[in-house]
Amino acid sequence: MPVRDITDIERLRKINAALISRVERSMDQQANAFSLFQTAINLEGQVRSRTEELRSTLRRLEESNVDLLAAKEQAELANQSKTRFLAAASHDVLQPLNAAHLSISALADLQTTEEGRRLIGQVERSLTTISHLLLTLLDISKLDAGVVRPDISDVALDPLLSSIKSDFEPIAEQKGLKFQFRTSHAVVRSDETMLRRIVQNIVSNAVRYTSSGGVLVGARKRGTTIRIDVVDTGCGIPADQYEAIFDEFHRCSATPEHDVSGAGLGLGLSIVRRMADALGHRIGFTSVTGRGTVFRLEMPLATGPVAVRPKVVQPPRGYGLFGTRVLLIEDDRRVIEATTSLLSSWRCEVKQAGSLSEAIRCLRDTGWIPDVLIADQHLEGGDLGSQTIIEVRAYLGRAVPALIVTADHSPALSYSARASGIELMRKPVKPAELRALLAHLLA
Amino acid sequence: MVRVCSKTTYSCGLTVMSTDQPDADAFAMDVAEEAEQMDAGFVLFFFSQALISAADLAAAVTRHSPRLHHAGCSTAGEITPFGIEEGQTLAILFPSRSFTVAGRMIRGLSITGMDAIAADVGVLRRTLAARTGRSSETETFAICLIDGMSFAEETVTSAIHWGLDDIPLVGGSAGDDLKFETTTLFYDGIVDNDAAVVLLVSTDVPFQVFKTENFVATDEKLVVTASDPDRRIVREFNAVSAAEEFAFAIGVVPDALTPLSFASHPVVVRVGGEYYCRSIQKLNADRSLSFFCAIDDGVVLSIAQPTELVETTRSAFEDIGRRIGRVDVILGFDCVLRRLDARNRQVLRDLSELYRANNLIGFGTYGEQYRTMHLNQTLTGIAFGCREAA
Repeated sequence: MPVRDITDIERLRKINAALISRVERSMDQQANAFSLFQTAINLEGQVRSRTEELRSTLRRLEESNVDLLAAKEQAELANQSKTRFLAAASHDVLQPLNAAHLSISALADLQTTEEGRRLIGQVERSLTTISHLLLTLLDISKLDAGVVRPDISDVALDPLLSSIKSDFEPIAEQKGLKFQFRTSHAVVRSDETMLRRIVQNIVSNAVRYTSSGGVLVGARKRGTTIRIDVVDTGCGIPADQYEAIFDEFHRCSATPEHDVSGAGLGLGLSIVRRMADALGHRIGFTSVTGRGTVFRLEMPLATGPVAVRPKVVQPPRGYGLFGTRVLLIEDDRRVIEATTSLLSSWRCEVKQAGSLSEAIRCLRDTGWIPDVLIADQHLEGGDLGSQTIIEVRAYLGRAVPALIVTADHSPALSYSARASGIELMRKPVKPAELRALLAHLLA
Repeated sequence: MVRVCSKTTYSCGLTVMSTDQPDADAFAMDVAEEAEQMDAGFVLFFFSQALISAADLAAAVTRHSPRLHHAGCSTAGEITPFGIEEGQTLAILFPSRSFTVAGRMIRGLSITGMDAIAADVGVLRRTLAARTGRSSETETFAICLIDGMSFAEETVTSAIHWGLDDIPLVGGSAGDDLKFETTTLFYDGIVDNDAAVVLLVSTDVPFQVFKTENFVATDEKLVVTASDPDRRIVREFNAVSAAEEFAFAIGVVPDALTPLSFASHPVVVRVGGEYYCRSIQKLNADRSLSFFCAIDDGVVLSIAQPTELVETTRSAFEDIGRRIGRVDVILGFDCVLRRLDARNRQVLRDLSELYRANNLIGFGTYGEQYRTMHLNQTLTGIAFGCREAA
């Protein structure tokens, strides 16, 4: 008889009792074989649904992996093109500037009037300002783009601070400021180039904004860190500008005398903050208007045995001239600066000498052997470039490739140069030509 | 047909030998010779106790192949390469080249706890892992054979699965040609009942474990109101004699109940939204009913209607074929009630032909194991694919 047709109360009561006891026992899993069977089924179901979940999660992961990979490739591509753009920009923007410097120095030689020399001086200063500004802007862009990454190593503070001291001493002296350094023999963990830039910029600011009193730079150990304090007695920073001083193009309201460096345009501290962030160094300041400012930079001390790393060679950046050692024999300061910066931008290593005797001294003192010689034909004290090259080659004992830069168009010079295996280049020098010729000589 | 011993080799290397002769010694000798030739590492026997005794067979195998690992169990019918048969002895030889087998016998099921069984299986798993190394070329499956009269399959299956750590498990409960007295198992010469054999098989042949059953539940409900769970006996359904209530539900008189009636009218239990077959083994003198599986007071069973057995099974095979490519051979554990039901509906020949066509070999069981579960009225098995097709 189907259950639903049963009317006998005793039977229904018994069925009810059996069901109740079963329900109660089913709460207590694995109590007997039947419960085990039920548990097994539930386990099967769980395994199935978990497997399905895992499978769909796996599928989603695979899909998002594909997306991530595509996004990563895109980002890498964008990053690469950004890096290439900045490298190209550094080169392409600075090269015409260097060319302008070279042309201006050639032009200066031609001036016979005081007025002409004065005007050229003005143009040169403007060019220098533009160069500094562009370099600083490029540095900021590179930091922001992540193209420049800190290369952390053990850095000895004493030589670093001493060199900064000697850089700024003449300016401080000129302004009649006391300029004191209390350096430390500590070795810190930092990127030497970036740390130097940071301290340079802070010191430069301190010197610039201080008209009386002095600037004190001190380094002091504090546990596992070291703190560099730059204390000045300058105009101070008004409280409402505390936040803004690290912004680009922010300048202290009490702008002092005209300055040609990028820092003078309010870029100095902006670079400082970016570099300190990149290095993870803490930077801060306290200031009282009219009394002065204290900048503090904190960095970790080197631990363990100190091993100041020799300078790591930068990776080649194309142009085929990477690491080329150039001895520049030239006595005109403006030409030296322009040519040096041009060669440096091609990653050449440049040493400079003003005369034959200086050139020999330079080689003797350092044991440095040049890959190529670049000389001006008419040197200080009547030395001739062609003769100097011959002597230098004799000293080195081999025919180092050489190049004379001259405004002298005489056939006699051409002849003697060709006889000695020396290339000639007419002034004003065009950077692309120079690069091609150097590459050719070194090939 | 006079056949002393037949031999079939499948492309994965599995070789099946079968005989209808009661001479254990002669068969063991043939098997030994073949094992030697093909470099078999393991041999599995399914035998009818009506033909041969476990003790004779185990002794003969040990005598002729002292180093060959072997296991076996008694059956309720065999499935040979020729289809569904009875009164046969079947030997399945595993070539060492593509199968690594680690096995053991678990004895005294009625007194062994789940923890001990799981621990034994864990040891076995590590033994196999040590033997095969960390090869990623091979996959592992497990086969269990359990005494079909032990009343312990649920517990043993759960415990084995517990120790297996998600290695797929299939198996069957040993039978005794529907006598329901004693089934026998042997492993490496040791013969016992109230025992189980667990085999872990590692192979580079692609495989797939599966189960297939055929029934739909009706809304005829039977509530177990009095039972002996330990002996799997239901005394009462719906507070009256179990046999009477069941017979009434399927429309026969209680005295006419036979294994055939049970095969044709399985009862199912609903767990977790699905129905599972709980088959009745036999009618007892006191009009209680013995089951092939665990039961309990208060369990609600529904009378089920079997569906197209042959077609359902055929589509299950097709499904496996789609998953692993061409099926090479299937090791199957086929509930004895399925063959009774097929015979009753006169489709036994069709079912047998379907098994033959799909290279299914195995035996008629008193219960089937699939992963964590002990089932009834089901075909469980493991299908081997072709290496090229994988």
